[in-house]
Amino acid sequence: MPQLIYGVWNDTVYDNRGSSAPTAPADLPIELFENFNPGNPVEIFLSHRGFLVFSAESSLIWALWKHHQRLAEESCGRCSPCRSGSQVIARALERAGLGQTVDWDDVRQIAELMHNTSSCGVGRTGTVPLLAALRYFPEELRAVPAGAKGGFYSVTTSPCIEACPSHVNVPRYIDYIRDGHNDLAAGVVLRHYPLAGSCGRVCVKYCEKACRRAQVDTPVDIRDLKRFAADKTIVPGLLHPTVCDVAKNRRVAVIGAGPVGITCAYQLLEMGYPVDIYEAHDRTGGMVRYGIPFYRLPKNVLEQENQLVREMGGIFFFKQKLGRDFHINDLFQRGYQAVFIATGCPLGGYLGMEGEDTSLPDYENGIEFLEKVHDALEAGKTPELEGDVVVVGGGNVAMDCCRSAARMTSGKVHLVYRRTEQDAPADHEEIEEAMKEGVEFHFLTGQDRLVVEDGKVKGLQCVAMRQTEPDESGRRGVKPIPDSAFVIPCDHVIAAIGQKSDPNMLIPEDGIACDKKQCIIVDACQGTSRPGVFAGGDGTTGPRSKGPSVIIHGMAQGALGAQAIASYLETGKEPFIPREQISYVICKSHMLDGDAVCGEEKKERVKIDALPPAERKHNFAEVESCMSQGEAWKEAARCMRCYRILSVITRSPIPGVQA
Amino acid sequence: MKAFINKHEYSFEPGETILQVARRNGIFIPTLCHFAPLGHKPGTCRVCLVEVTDARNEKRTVTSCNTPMEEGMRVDTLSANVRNQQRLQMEMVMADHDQNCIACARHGDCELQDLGMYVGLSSNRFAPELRHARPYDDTMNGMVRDMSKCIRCLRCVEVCRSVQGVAALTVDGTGLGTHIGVGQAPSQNASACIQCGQCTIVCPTGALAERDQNNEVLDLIADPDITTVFSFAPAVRVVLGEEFGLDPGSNVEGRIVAALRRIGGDIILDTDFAADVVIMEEGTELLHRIKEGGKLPMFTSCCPGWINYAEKHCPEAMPFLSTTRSPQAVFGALSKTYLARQMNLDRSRLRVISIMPCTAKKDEAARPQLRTNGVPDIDVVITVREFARLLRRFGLDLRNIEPEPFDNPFMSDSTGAAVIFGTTGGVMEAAVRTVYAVLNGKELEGIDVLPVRGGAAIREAEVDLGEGNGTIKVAICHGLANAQKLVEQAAAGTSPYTFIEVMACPGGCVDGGGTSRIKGQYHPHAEQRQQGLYTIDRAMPRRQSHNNPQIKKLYAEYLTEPNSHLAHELLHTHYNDRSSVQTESILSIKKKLTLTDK
Repeated sequence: MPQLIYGVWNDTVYDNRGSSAPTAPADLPIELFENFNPGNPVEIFLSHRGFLVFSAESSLIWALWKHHQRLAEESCGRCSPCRSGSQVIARALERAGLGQTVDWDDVRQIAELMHNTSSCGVGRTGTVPLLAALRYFPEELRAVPAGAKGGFYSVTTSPCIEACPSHVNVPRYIDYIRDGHNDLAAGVVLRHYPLAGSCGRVCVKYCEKACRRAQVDTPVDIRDLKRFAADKTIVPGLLHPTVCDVAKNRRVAVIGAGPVGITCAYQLLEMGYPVDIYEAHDRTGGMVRYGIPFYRLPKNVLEQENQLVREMGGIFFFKQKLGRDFHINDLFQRGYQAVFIATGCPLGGYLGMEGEDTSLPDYENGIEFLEKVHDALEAGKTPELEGDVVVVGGGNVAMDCCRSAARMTSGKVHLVYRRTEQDAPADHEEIEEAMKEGVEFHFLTGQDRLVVEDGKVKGLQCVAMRQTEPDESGRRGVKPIPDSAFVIPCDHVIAAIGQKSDPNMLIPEDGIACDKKQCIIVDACQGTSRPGVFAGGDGTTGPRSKGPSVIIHGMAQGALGAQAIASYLETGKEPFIPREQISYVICKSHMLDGDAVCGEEKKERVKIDALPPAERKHNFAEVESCMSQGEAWKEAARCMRCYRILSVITRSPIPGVQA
Repeated sequence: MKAFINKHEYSFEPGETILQVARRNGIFIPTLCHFAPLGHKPGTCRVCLVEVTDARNEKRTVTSCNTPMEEGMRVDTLSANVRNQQRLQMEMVMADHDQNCIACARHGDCELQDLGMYVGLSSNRFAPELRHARPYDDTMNGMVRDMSKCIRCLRCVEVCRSVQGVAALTVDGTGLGTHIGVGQAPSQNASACIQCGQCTIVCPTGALAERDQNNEVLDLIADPDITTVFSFAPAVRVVLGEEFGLDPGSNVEGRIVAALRRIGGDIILDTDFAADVVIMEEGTELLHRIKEGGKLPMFTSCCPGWINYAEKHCPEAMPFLSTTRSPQAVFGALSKTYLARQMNLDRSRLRVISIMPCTAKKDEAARPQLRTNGVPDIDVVITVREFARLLRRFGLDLRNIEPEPFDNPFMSDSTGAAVIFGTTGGVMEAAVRTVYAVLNGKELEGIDVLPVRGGAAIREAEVDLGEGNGTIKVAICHGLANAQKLVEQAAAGTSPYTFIEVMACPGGCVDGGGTSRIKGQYHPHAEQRQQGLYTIDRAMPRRQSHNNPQIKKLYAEYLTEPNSHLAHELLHTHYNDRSSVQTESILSIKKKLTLTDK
């Protein structure tokens, strides 16, 4: 357990110098500061909450200087106190560290000006440690003793960045849009993954849920801003990739050309590794292609983005299915030195109820249904359905199915879900849109029996459900209400209750451990039980994933997998990723939660044009439009740049980080 | 709702900012980046500080421009703490600002200097330490972008986007390096910028300013072997007076003529004469297009900002542009041919200098299309602001100068039609007057074509061309943000119009990028300037271009008739597609990112 020597945290002073009863912030898991990377203790930590000193040998002035140097680099230069003030302070701290005289009163006044009057989090919160040190521990601001410098790592983040599994620098790309650089905005996203326009359409947007603007009015429309940047640059081909130099001679195979595999390949290609991608279908995109209907994601967007990987030098082998056409051992025999499995959960589930006959043409699972719809549209046909349809499920696949069905039939479309609307895992907007498109929702309704006559589906017998009392975790279950059965007459039933991985892909000789749902077990760096084999996305289970998830989680795992593969190929070891370690500390300490916003003017969120529901029948055209340039500038101006700078000083240098 | 400022109670509406409530009640709070006329408050200068105590009795310093007033809030604009912070803030603003005020285009007209006085700035401790190189771009003919003077108020970006729809200006860099850039373009000249100069009207300092060419003018005046020909645009005569404290819109034509003689100009002429020529050529061109099934609608081509916009932003508009040169270009071409012949002057010793309300006119003068054997038709263009400085260099105050008339018999007479070229709708009205007369052999009754006048961004009117000639629909547009739609219609073949007048600047030339600027305001005298032109028009003995006796003489003795072979050679031009779709590699984009997280 690290020992706090002194510090200031949330305006509370802790001074254990010479104290026999040391104190520490009660709500802060202090063990987080034991080691930064293995065997390298944290000596000083600085953030918008204050600073903590854990080592008597460390130099506070050096820490503050490095922190303010970072702040000065981070200053966007628009507002005066931060632009000039950050420079004046960084230079003063450098002089102080060298033992030269500094007018601390000047420094304090400028730091206060930055803290009180800067327009964003950089100047406002970056100055907190210095002000605390000046106020409570001025005697510790001594010249840097020789040899006191250790490792330094600093990160500038914000609630939206931390909420995003890929840690995309959201305020930065919003700034670029506001500043007139749509191309650079797209570039910020392209550092992480190529599917900027796709993710800009279908992401579940954890970032917006974390957006502090919600305290003022409504969150910034982050997702549509990302889409805007992509639609202005990547989609029309104005940003094009260059063929990557093959700097490394170790070849990597990626299995699956979905968002996870594509992202992993993209990152590896950039690092200079030759990458081949094996895909079971004859096209790229995976579940994003087949599972997300055209009206949410036009396939030319996806195609253009996947094309980037091809142009960078990635080689695709189509109709190559793991377990059917090749095994993992084959890949190593072909000379690949590492493999990344991103096969996802390509199979839909059935309901497992009475009367179920999966051979019936009118009873199918959601994944098959969506794939059929995709194939028809891709062939230039508008798919049709006759009669009424019941979709069972409460997730996004169910919404995709019922919204597709509503476009295909002139009959009625029902959605049956056993829990409440609030409990449905689908995006709430998807539920709203489905309702607008005429889908009739039956919440707290469980499927009971498939009604089949003469080999034809005639209806779905359902029972009403009721909520039970909350269990220990606070979640309420559901129970059928006796004698409440009723039949919804229909001609088609679509089971959209979940996806699973294909059990026929891996064989025991592959030597890859799976859980009982046939999901590949991975570690925190996406490694499997077999050295050299990594996996990510749907169909894996580990600290970062539990079965089917959303695209942004998958892409984060794809990118992390690429780093892990590079580390494995170069050093044979797991990588240490300081950015992930900082995120871990933030997450465990809730350090970014709960900062109040005050005195902010209200600014209305942009309204995205959408196709009127009446025009969506027999029409798979994209529903939501891209915002205009003018709207994008306006929306971008709503971002409050809630940046927080976190700096850590360690005893010895941190691997891969230049101090 | 009620709140207190400096202990006095004031009522306010929900959503009003502290600054709004203070201003409404006559309480002064210094501001810099805030630009009320465009609703622009980026909150970057952070000088408008006040101290507030909210209903929970919590005290904090806030920027008044973007902090909403709250019920029961107590605002202090005067405390020592507020004043100290404002002063320190100003020191922060000044710290990385170019300190060489004497060499600045905005000398004596600088909002930053004013602010320093408002907050009582007495020291500038950090300036030597924070000197930082930022771009200096003099690639343009019309303007200079000197980012060492930029205080990041972003007013220029706002006007470029919301008024002009050009969006050439971007915000680049970080920290002390932050400045106004031009996207990925290598220079502002090669960028989407059209040099309309509206940014120079709003820039509080000299960061964006006209390219000062007064020394070139002085050199020409001083050269004994050179004959200088001066002329000035219609708008100049109703704007220049403001520079010397005369009433906005007052006609100083005669004073300008006198002043030009006093500074040593050899031949003093009027660009208005050339405007009458333009009407003859453009009107004939329009009738020709209507009769022969040429490209319609025809767009006017007098405004160089608009021409730059068409060439750079929407080349699909080019076939619709009138080929007639602008009055300035016509003036230059005729000066070095017709005038030289009539006055028996050596064209190689003639230098044409025009005084324009416009920065883009400087750029126009440099167009390769407007050169004869490599020599420009117009040699130097200076804006109204430069001309005012030039007069001051001669110790002249316009107020003390007695008006004098033009006296040149060839290119100085003009009509009411020519003078209204300086306002939005004026070119259209002048053209209608002459086109009607040509078609009907008689003058238009009710010569004031009122439907084309006014201030709406896009105006349209139906013009009756007389018996047997039918009516045509015309449109007038000013402020380029409004032009795009009209171009799209034309290119799509769905335009209901026959003739469209476009002027790049809102209000037309009287509010051009080279006119007088008034600190913190945006064309506050637009109305007076426009009315000034209409007043001159009404008082003119002749109000139709074709009735200008010097025009009749020009065609009779030189050009033969409008659109003649010689007229085409001298008075018409062509346009070049200068649009470029920029594509860039992802790799190079990534290299340009300023990101500190790795």
